Amino acid sequence: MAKGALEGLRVVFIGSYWAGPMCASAMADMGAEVIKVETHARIDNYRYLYSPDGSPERGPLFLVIDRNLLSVTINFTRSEGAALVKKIIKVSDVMLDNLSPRVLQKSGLTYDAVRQVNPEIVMASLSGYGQTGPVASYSAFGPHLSGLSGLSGLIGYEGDEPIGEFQGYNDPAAGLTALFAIMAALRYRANTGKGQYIDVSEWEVGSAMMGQEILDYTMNGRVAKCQGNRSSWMAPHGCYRCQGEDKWITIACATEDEWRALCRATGNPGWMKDNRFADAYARLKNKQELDELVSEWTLRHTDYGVMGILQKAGVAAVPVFTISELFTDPHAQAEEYLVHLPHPHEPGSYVYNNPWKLSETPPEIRRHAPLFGEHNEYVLRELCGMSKDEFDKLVEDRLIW
Amino acid sequence: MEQDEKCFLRRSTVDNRDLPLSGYVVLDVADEKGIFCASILAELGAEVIKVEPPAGDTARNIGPFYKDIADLEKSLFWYAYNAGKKSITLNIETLDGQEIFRKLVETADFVVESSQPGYMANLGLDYDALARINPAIIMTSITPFGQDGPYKDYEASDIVLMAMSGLMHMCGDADRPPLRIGIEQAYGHGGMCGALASLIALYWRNITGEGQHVDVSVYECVVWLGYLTVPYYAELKRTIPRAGSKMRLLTVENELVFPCQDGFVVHRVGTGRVLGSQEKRLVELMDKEGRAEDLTQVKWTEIGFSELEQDELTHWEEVIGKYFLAHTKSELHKVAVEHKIMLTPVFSTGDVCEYEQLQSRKYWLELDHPALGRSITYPGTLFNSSEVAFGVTRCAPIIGEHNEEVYMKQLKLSPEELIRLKQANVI
Repeated sequence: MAKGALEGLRVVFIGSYWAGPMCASAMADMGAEVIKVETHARIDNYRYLYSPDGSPERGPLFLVIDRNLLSVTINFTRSEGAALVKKIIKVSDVMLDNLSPRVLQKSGLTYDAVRQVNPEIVMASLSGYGQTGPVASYSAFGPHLSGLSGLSGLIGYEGDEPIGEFQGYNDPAAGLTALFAIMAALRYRANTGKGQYIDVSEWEVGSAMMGQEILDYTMNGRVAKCQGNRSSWMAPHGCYRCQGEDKWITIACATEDEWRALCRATGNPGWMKDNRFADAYARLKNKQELDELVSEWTLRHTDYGVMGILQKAGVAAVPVFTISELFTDPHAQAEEYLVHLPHPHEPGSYVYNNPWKLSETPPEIRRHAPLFGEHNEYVLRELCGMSKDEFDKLVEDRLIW
Repeated sequence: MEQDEKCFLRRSTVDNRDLPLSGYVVLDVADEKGIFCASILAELGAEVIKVEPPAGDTARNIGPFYKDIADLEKSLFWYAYNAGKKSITLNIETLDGQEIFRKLVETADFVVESSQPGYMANLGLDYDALARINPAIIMTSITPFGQDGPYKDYEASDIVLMAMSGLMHMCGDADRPPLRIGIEQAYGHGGMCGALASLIALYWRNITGEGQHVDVSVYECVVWLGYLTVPYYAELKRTIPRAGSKMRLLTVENELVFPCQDGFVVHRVGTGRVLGSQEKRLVELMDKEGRAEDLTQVKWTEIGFSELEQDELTHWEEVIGKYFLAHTKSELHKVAVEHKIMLTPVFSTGDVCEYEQLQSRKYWLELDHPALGRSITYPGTLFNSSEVAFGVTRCAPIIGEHNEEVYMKQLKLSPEELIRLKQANVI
C-alpha cells in the first residue's frame, strides 16, 4: 500500500450527517488516523437513514461518507465521558466537530477546555451559522442553509419561481473548507508551535462560492435571478432532448469557431449564413429559435451519439447522466471513480473515490465505515493506556456507550 | 447563549502578517477553470503571482461587469476570484517565455494550471520537467476530466460538467429539461479541491522534502456533491426523479419551497422524533392565529417516517402554506429562530448582503480598487480563526501590474531586456 500523505496525523471527530464526516473521511483517505466519537446518546442519524433492515450498521449514506474512519463509543454528554474524550484529544493533533454550538458548549469540549489538555491542538468547528452572531445557536439542515446563502433562490427555470434544492449542496463545500483550514493551521503550528480554533460557517462558505453574483449586488446594485440553463454569453447553451425516454444532452458553444464546427457537424451549414445567428449576440437574442433547431437535430440521435459528433468537432457536449451512467460510462469506469468496498454486514457498498490524485501519495479507500464502537479497545486501551479493569468498569457504567 | 466575539480575529489591513502560507510562492497559470484554487492560497497568506498572457487572462472576459462595461479590468468574475493575487504578463508559448517561467519555478513552491492534458508537456513545462528544476515543486493541474481517461481531451463548460455529475438529472420539473443547479459552480468546487489537495501535498513535502503532481478532475469534484445519489441508487435501485421544488425520495413527495407574502421559504413538513417536535411548535403558533385548522389533532412526534401518507401530508402542507402566505420572509425567519423551527427564507443575493447575522460577524470585506477610484465589498474569508487574521488585503490585480516588481527586482532583468521582451510579445 502506498504511504498516505497525512500518515501519522491523529484526528478526533465528533459529528454526524455530511459536512463533518466528509472532512473527516477525506483526511482519513489521505492517511490520517481519524477517530469518530459516537454514543448511543447521540447516534449519527445516517446510520439509520434508508437502512434496509433498520440496522445502524447498514445505513447506505453512512457507509459511503464515513469510510476509513475508526469508531469509539463514549457518552460525551456526561461530564465523565467528556473527560474520557479529552484523554484521546491529549494524544491527538486535531479536533473536528460539526455539532451545533449549543451542544458543543454543553458537552464541555469547547476550544478553551480542550486547549487545557492539549495546548497545541488545532480545533475546527463546522456549523450552519458559525459560533458567534445572533443566530449562532440555530440549527439547520443543508437545504435550509441553501435558502440563506442565496443558492436556492437561483435554482429555477429562466424567469420562473425558484425551486430550491434538497441535497444540501453547501455541506461538502463547508467540509472541504474545514479541511484546508485545518491543513493551513497545521502549517502554522509547524512554524510557530501554536494551535488555533477555526470556525467554519456553512452559510458563509455558500455565499463565498457565489462571488460574482454577490459582487453584482454590491457593485451594480443588481439582484441575481433564476437563469435556468441559459448563459449570459454563450449560445447555443443548454439542455436538449435526445432519442429515448428522458434522455438529454448539454451543449455549450463558446466561440465562433465552435459555432461553425457545430453547424457543419450537425449537417446544417446553412445556419452559418443565417443572420439570426450571425454572432453570439444575435444567437442569444434569437435563442428560442436556435434552441428549437438544435433540438430538432438532437432528437434524431442518442445522447452519447450527440456527444461523439460534437466533441469530435471540438464542441463541449456531454449527456445529462443519471446515476446509472456513473457506473457504466467509459470515462467514469476508467477513472475508477466508484469503488466497491466490502463490509461485514453488507454484500458491500459503492463509495466515491476522491476527485484528486497525488502522484506520490494518492488517496486510498482502505477500510469500510466503522461498526459502532469497533475500535474501543484500540483507542482506549492501546492509545490511552487504559487498564482492562478500568475499561470494563466504564462499559458497565455506560460511559463507554 | 453568547460566545466571546473577540475570540475571532478579523481581517487586518496590514501586510506581512504571520499567516500559514506567508513566504510561499504560487505561480498561477490557471484560467477560469482553475482560478479559484490560488485565490484560496492567497487568503492563507501565500504570494500568488497570476501569470497572464500579454493580452490578459481569458477569465477577464467573463461577466457580469462593473456598470455593465465589458472591459478587461471591470469583470466582476475576475474581481471575485483574483483578490490578493499579483499579476505578471508572460507568453509561455514562446521559448523566451518558457525560460523565464522556469526561472520563476526555481524559487516557487506551487504551480497551478488548468490547461488541456499534454499542453504543458508540449511546452516543456510539465511536472517532470519542473521537478527537475525544483524537486520540491507542487504542481496542481485542475482539468474538467482529469489527466487520463477517454474524455481527457474533451471540451467542457460548467453546464456540461454539472450534467456529467448526475446532479442535473434530479433538478427541475418532471416534464421539462433537467436544470443546472442555480449558479455556475463546477470550477469553484474544482478550485477548492485543488487548494485542498495542494495543501495536503505541502504537508507531505514538509516531512519528506518532495513535491508532487496533483491531478484534480473537476467533474469528479462535482459528483461528490451528490451524496444521496450513489447509495440511493446502489441500495434502493432507484434513481431520484425530478419533482420541481419537491423532494421525492421514498414513498411520499415533500414540498420544500413555500411561497410566503413577499417571497419564499424553505421548510419540510415532517414527523417523528426530530422533525415532529418542530412541526408541533409551528402548529401551536399557527393555532394562536387561528390558522391551524385540524393540524392540532396530529400526533407529530409519533408518526414514523415511513408511515406518512401522501394525502395527509399534502393537506398539512396546504394548511401550513396558507399560514406562510400570511407572513413575510423576515417574520417567519424570526419566528423560526425564536422557536427553533427549521425554516429559512429563500434569500436573494441582495438579502444575503443586507442580513444582520453576516454583518455582525463582520463577514464583509472592503478592498480599495485604485483603478476604479472606489472600494469593492467582497464576501469575506471562507472561515475564521482565533489566532490568525486570514484574508487578502489587496484587490484583484490589473494586467501586468507587478511586471516591474517581479521581472526587475526579483529576476533582475534590465529595463532594456524588458522592452525587448515586450516588443517580442513575450511579456
